[in-house]
Amino acid sequence: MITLDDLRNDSRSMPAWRQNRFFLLVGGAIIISIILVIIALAMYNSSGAAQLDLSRHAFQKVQSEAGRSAADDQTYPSSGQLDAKAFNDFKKFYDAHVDTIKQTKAFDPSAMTDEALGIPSSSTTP
Amino acid sequence: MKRIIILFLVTLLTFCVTTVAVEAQSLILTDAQISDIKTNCTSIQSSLSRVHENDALARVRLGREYEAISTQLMAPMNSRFSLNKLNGVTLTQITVDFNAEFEHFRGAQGVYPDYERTLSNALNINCYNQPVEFFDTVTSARTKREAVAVSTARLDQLMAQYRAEIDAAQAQIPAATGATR
Repeated sequence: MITLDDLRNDSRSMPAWRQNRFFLLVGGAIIISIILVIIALAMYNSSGAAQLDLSRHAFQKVQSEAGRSAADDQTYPSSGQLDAKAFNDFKKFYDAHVDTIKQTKAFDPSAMTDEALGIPSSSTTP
Repeated sequence: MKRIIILFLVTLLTFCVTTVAVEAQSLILTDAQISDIKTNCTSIQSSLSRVHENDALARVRLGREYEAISTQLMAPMNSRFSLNKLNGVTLTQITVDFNAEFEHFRGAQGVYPDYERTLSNALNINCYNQPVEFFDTVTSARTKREAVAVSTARLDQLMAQYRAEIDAAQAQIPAATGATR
């Protein structure tokens, strides 16, 4: 029968790393998870996903404005006759998307001028 | 021979020095200008932050619409042309160009992520402590934003071309039969 003293003696004869296996396991798991998080964040930033993530703190104010429109879910059928109705249906879907794009009015250069940003106009040195 | 090499080196050196001097001159700020940026630092950062937010929203909306036009409209229509044995080469070419430009716009190394990174860098710079670096980064972001605007203009142009081709194709199909050829 194994006594408590036998177990203590066995444990004393073990190398240091075997005596702390549990802590090594926990520490190893933490280190591996940190490495995986670093890799994931690097991929998140380098893939361009970070630029689209409106849940980021900097974009909190505009999150609610990024709703989907009904036209986003409509897919034009890839088979069937090409008659006048087919063309007209296509043009209706297509124009709906084009209109949304026109309404967005994105990247207007005037939004980044010195005046718009409030940078004193004298800042541009000749 | 030695004289020619020396002359060449002197010319090259003069050209390099002139180029660097011109570039440096455009980025030099006077003390008064630096002081102005420091004074208006908070309001400038606030304006820049607003532009950042609006551009991110525009990017999400535009990306979604461009993606829908490409995958939900152009690709099925091209397929339909093919199945109906109609000549859709021009439409397919426009779709290819559109997809390439869209990738140029949104890809990891595309114009928008490049601009966004630069603008984020500008927002992270303390314009009170580093006004010159801040101004340089804002200037760089402005240039990159112009590239984004050029890319979206090109996408809009391709969409208009595709729409015009669809009109032309419809006009060629006999309305009376309204059927495939």
